Amino acid sequence: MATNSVQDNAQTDADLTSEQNQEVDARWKEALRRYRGRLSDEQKARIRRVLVQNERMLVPVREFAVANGDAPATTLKLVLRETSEAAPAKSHLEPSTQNAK
Amino acid sequence: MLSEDVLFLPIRELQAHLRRRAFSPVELAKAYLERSRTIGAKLNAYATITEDVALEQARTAEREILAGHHRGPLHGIPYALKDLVTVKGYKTTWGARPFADQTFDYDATIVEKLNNAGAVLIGKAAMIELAGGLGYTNGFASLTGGCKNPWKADCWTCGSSSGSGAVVAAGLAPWALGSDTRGSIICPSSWCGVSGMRPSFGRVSRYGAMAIAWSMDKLGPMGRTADDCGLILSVIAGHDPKDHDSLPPAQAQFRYPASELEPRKPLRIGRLTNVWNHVDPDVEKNFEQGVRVLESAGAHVSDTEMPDGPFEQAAELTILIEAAASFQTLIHSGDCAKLTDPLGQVNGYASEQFSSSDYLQVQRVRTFLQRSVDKLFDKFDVLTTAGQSDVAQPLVEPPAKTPPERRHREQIEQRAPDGVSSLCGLPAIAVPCGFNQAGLPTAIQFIGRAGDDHAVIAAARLFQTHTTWHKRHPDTATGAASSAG
Repeated sequence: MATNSVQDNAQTDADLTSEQNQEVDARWKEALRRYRGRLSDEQKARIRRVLVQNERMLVPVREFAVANGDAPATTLKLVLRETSEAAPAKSHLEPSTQNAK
Repeated sequence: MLSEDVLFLPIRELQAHLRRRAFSPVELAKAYLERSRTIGAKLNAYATITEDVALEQARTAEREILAGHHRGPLHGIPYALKDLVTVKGYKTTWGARPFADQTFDYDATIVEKLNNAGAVLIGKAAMIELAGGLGYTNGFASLTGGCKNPWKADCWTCGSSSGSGAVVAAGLAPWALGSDTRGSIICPSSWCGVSGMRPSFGRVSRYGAMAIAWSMDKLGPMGRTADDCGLILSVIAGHDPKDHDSLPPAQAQFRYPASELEPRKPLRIGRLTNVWNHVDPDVEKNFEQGVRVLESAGAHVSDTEMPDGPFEQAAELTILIEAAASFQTLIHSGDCAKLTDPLGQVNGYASEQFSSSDYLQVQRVRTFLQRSVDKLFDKFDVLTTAGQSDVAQPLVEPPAKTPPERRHREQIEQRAPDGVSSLCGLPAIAVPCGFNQAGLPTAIQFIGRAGDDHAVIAAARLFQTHTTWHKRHPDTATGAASSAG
């Protein structure tokens, strides 16, 4: 079990607003809630630094103006005749043997 | 034994020799296998050498060619495959310790296509663990260790197609398959002095290849010349219903040579003036000389800028969020702790914290960015810039002096063209354009409109028609440059 000497209290980042820091903190706490037992203090601190970077990247994306009808670059592709008649795909990358448990 | 100069020939010339029976596919395969075992081992270029497969395929090709049956440009031509593509019965490690013994009982679609084309699989090239899908901070983040650059063994090849770059640069095979989610073909090609192409998104099936980010992953060729890339792409491209993002048949197929390559005279090239924060002076000088070569060859070159927008952020966020899903089992099991890189060991835990609305916002913004970039191609056939902003960097043991998250931030602040073009699924090619003072290769890259893979090949072919940088290869005994003559 990893030690718990890293303070779970929020450490604010000067580049981010109070609201953004709160979001980072909430996400960090949620990650620690799920995985604390498998993380060292150094890894916990690294995750928080990564979350700060992720928040910085989200800022300009969230500021980009989009309207209700602006659809995302995600698609549902209909399974048409050509696809349904093809040999069914194996479950993608399901290994026949694997070192994992 | 075949001479080294023969082993550095482009595919078209090797194929001509095979048809003239100057040497046989078996002789060719044995020569590359010998180099792969010896030089390849020194460079950490391979995960697996598939000698049995290579010799069997070479013997078959030899029989067929002797009988006058020719399957096409790759018939009897050896190649290496990045170790994230499945080959039935062989390990497919994804470059990562948790998957060191992983095998699959089927061939990837691209392997089926290459088998049908009579190509000869020499081995599976080393790679960065999970192709960098959970992040990495240095070139040692691989099951097989740091991959050494054939031009200078204490330098890295770049990633994540690190072994593929080394294989081609060192003449261990005429070409290798790479994959590119955001720059993983373009960077190793640039740093290794080879010609590497990222096809348009959806043109080459990824069925049987490890996924990082489904909406950004591409497979593509790394070879000696742009012509090599065209020949290879003509074999591996095509619609595949097993790949959800495969283009429809008419758009996916790639005819080569094609009439589309010839009538573009003069080629309209936009020189990007607002990409990269800092470019190495030698890289900049060689790129400018390259532009002058293109102008002398009749191309119309004028300055242009990438449009404003959060391209880099959108690209990085898309990869992080999709990778958290594609590697969900690894993350949840805790086996990501077995990865080599300290960032890769924990990055998935952070990426899981993104919300679904985060992802959808990124994808909504993405459509705007696609349209704004596409408008550039109303004025230009291709855009050009340096292949990378710098030359191959030293292969330095971790820990790196700079904390990885800080480096990551600096990277995001750049206008690296890989992020823009990868996010929008654009084709790109990087080809050699000179050397720096230390003898390391530099590259020029061309980026095309989505679906216009012919344009980037046409531009690179024009460049290579008037230059000989692609004919240089490292002296693998000394690590210095020599001319292939």
